[in-house]
Amino acid sequence: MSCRHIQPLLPDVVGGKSPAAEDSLVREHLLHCPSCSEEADRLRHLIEDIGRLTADAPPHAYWTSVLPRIHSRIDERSAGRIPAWATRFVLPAAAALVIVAFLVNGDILNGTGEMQEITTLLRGLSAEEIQQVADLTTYSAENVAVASADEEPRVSAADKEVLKQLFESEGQSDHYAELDADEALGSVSAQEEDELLAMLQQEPTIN
Amino acid sequence: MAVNESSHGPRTDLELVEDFRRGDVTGFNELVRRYQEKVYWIGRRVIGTHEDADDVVQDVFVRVYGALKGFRGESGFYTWLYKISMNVSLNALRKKRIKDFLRYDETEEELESDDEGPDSHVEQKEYETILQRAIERLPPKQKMVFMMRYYDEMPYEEMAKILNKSVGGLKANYFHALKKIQIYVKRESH
Repeated sequence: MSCRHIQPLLPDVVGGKSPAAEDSLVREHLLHCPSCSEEADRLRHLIEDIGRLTADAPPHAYWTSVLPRIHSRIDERSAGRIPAWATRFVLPAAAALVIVAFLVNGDILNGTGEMQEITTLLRGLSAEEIQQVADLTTYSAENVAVASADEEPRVSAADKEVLKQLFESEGQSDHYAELDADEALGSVSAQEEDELLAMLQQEPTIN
Repeated sequence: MAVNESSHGPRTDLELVEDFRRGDVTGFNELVRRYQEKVYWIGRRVIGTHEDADDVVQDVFVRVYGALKGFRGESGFYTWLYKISMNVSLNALRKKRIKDFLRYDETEEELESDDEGPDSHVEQKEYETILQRAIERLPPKQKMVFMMRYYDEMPYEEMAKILNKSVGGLKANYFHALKKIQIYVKRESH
């Protein structure tokens, strides 16, 4: 096997994670290849160094605090959510009303005569038809939640150089450095934001 | 698969999901207790700080709570949870990087003023800081592969299922992630 094929196998070999057959294949190659052998040594040192990096584990009490705080956030979200009966009956009816009004006259505020016509039309729609109209215009909270598992990044990783140029071209880099980051993000122009998002949305997300 | 001993015998992840679907919130609670540490360490390794990792844990399980009824069990629960955790962590990292960029002048000044003179302990700390930063700055795709393989010791076959990549491609990604760390450390250490 060539060096090009051997090199991707080196991290697992030097980290002791490769299957026996692969391990012996690579080690056989290393005996005769000084270049890959040196590469293996460098990777071994790097992997050992990374292994020495430590992060303090949180105290035991932290783990018992997690679940209550999750439920608090769930409760907060539920409190701010439109009740299920509203999304099931009122929103579909309202959505249907708006769409039918638009189809009839293009303007819902054109007078009471039109409203009577809309009411008549609405009465002519079956519950199923109202639901179909509503489905075109509303998302259920559950669908949004399911989608979140596969969501596209709204704001993805920044290409720092491009961002730097973007802000420096405005002569505002010092200004931004002094601001709170959230405030600074909120103060970029719509055009800058579009550029930023277009740039950042190239980042991969697991689908 | 992780299980939970109860009066009715061990509960698998999928059984706990089913419990939750039937309205028993203890199924969800048990899943949180079972996986909170794993989710925490995904967040901690991707982003770096305890506070950020804590946000990830909260965010992930709030999303799981909302999405669990739609979980179809086509993959294992942990595989599904892992995807959500990685996505949430990477999104949080993106936001953090933007903020770091916006504060970059301040950060540079802090680094420049951190001159405590030649000392082996300081040098070692500096080296570790550079190494940590090299990992933090990996592109998200390589970072995912690095985290899964190095820290979680996930088999390539499982990684391939999660990331929809070939095993050969993932091995190459892992190698290139390490090379990128190596190059960054070499450049910043001189």
